[in-house]
Amino acid sequence: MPPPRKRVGRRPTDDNPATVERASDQHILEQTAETEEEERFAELQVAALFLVGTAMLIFFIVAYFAISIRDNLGQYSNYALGGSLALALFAIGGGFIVWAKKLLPHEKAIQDRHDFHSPEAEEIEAENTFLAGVDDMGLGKHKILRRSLLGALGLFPLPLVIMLRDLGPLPHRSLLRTGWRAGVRLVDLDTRLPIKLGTVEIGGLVTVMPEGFTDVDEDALAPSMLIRFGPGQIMSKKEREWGVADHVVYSKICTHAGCPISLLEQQTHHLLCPCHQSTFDMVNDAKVIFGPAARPLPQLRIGLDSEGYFIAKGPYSQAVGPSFWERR
Amino acid sequence: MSAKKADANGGAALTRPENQGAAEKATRGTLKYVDDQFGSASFLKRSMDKVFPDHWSFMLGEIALYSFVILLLSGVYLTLFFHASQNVVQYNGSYQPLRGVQMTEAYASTLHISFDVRGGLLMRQIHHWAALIFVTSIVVHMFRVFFTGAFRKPRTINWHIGTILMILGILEGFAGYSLPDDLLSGTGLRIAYSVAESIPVVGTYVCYFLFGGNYPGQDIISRLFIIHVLLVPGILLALISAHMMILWHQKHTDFPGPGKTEDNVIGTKFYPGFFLKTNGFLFMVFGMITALAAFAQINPVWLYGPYNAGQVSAGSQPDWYILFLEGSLRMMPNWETHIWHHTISWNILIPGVILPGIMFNLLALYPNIEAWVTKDKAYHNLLDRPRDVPVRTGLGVMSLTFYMVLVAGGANDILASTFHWSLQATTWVLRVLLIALPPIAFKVTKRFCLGLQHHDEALLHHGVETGIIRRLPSGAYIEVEEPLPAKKAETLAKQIGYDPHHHGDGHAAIAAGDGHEPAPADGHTQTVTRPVGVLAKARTKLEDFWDEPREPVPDTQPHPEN
Repeated sequence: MPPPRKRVGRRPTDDNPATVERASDQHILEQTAETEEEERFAELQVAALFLVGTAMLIFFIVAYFAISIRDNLGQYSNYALGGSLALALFAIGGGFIVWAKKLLPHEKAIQDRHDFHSPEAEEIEAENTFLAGVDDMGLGKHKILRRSLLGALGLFPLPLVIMLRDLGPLPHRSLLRTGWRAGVRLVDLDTRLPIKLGTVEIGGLVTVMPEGFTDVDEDALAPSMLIRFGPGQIMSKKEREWGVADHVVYSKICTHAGCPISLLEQQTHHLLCPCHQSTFDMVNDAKVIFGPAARPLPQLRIGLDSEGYFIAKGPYSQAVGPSFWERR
Repeated sequence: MSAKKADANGGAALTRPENQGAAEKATRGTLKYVDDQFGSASFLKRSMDKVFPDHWSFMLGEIALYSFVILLLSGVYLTLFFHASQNVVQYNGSYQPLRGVQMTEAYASTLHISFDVRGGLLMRQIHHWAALIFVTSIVVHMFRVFFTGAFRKPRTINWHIGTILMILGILEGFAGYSLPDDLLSGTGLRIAYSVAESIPVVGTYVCYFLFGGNYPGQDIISRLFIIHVLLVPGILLALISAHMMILWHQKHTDFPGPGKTEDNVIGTKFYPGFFLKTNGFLFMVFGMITALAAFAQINPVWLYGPYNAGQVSAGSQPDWYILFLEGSLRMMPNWETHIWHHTISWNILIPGVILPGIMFNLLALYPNIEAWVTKDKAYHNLLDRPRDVPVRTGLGVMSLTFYMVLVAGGANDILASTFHWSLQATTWVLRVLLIALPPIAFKVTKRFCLGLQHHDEALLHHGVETGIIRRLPSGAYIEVEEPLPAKKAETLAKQIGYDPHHHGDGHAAIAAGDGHEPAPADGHTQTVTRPVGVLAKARTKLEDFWDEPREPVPDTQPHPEN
């Protein structure tokens, strides 16, 4: 009697379920098997898959030593190692699945589910035992015991929390510090060279840092933009006065989420933050004209030193970057 | 092999066979050795006989489980080479474009893994792909659980655990993504710092303690590292174990079908059938991830360059599961309050802290809310089809729509530049859609579900249209309808919640939330006492909304028998 194929592991069919055997709460509903020929063929299939897996694993080992990762940025090695490992895994996994589907008896089992809750008597007993324990301990009776226990256990986590105190300094003044102060020269972020009046083209933007900057801490708030506009383009009187000869400096750190802003549109003089698209009008005190930022970018007062290099005339007059609770 | 079915008869006295081969002897010996110490035989027997129902959608959770295994294995390998340090070094490895560049050890060691460790790049890409597939499969698995009502009693606590697993998975992904300290991940960390900074009163303290000072500090990479490789994986491992043990103990849910009841499971026995298949599947998942890692490049950190506070790359997008947060940050109007020399920046606090807080809490507590509204206290082992619970399905699609608009918001610059739209207009349209689209999605989905139900009931009552036209003695023409095959009708009746023994009276047995007990015929719960209090009244209103009675199928055609 050749059994119907492709039934294994599928959803129950319309066949009449017949109880074959009963062991514990689980029994087999129906059981069929492949014919012997089919079984032999399936055996070959599984073996072939496992052999492919073996071959691929050997290929992996050979490729590991034979293919240099200096070639083509290691891509050849990556293709060879990854490709052979993937094929090996597919073959082995496929072998398991064909084995399960074709060589195991095709059976559909049924099992009872049991109630998840305990019999009511047992539930009540457990409740009683628990409450009796509470009674025995006298938690209801001895008020002072209960309260002192709460006090002790309540304070128990505190030492653990307090010990986290030295994870970092307290915020306070350092929130405002940027590394800019009166007289410090503006240097190009990339070249680290000071910038002379007249070296920036009209419409140009240079990312500047305070001279002698290092890579840490307050310097993350220091990045600023030196922008040169054309004559008469700056609309704001204050902006003009804080700059030098149509050169102005603004903080590069977005007042929204702190991304460094970089995209200046030459025509509109709009500056766009690439992270969340806050847009600032750079000829109008860097006012926000679109996006989630709430405040204009802070402007840095600049001047020229005796050699004609740009210098800061003081620190930023307000906190740079995103808002925080302590910010006034 | 010879004693395969020796215990089939249960009660009869069993003895071990006389002539055992070497392999059988060793196997029996081992099992006995373990049993002598743990008394494990009865547990083992029960476990091997455990029946697992078969449905493709039950494999989604398995994908999550197996990608977690792969994450552990590949992650351990990566820790052998990665230096979680922000000390600045000069790169001298074999990637030419960055030779001589100053960078942190974290970034330099990531380059080392990618270009100087054989198979290192493969491992890195396996790890990243596995992380994406881990989070993705968790989310899709949750869709399955949600839309089929598998979270109902007794599986509510397991849903809670699952939600925590998803949130931890997202955090773990973000932490791992930040470790290489490249330009892209540094920007992500900078935004995360700003989000934490926006929390009123304690924000700056949280940041300073986490980062060891003002951004970026010197400590974040080494702290994130231990969070990423020990703390979170430890919690994940513990919760995944709990998730699986609960599943094992409670047995898997199943879809309604012939012979299936609330009190049985029909499927494959764990051993050997399910065991072989699921191990095969483990290899397949591993194979798929490896194939992706071999041929689909992911997170090529060497192209981004080391992190620098003054630089950012345009069009930088995080991994997909962070996109919704990025979108909510982008879409938020620029509200900020200044009071008493203090600043509250709602423009970050709402989209970055409050909104995800509400979303994750609603997601976690949904089973409790639904049970409260429907007053459903029954056990459920058989699953719903989405169409059979229109309000739940509607709410699910509504939430997904809200989420998808947020995700689209996270790519608003890409949308704008791809389709040549104005960026501002795109953002405004998305803002409107975020509010307007979800309710529409709810209405449409519910309508769809009711339509499908209608179709099912018509099938059940009238059968299938045959295309045969017959003329009645009265002169009327009718189309002959053939009843559904018995088994199909039984399944369908179960799915739509009819009690097959009480034909005719029954819409909305399912609407009462319990396939077991007979529901009032009109689909409404009869409230004897008037509800008191705002909460109770709201609950009654919500219950009415949930149980809105189905339209009965109009009996427009005379039956041919008549």
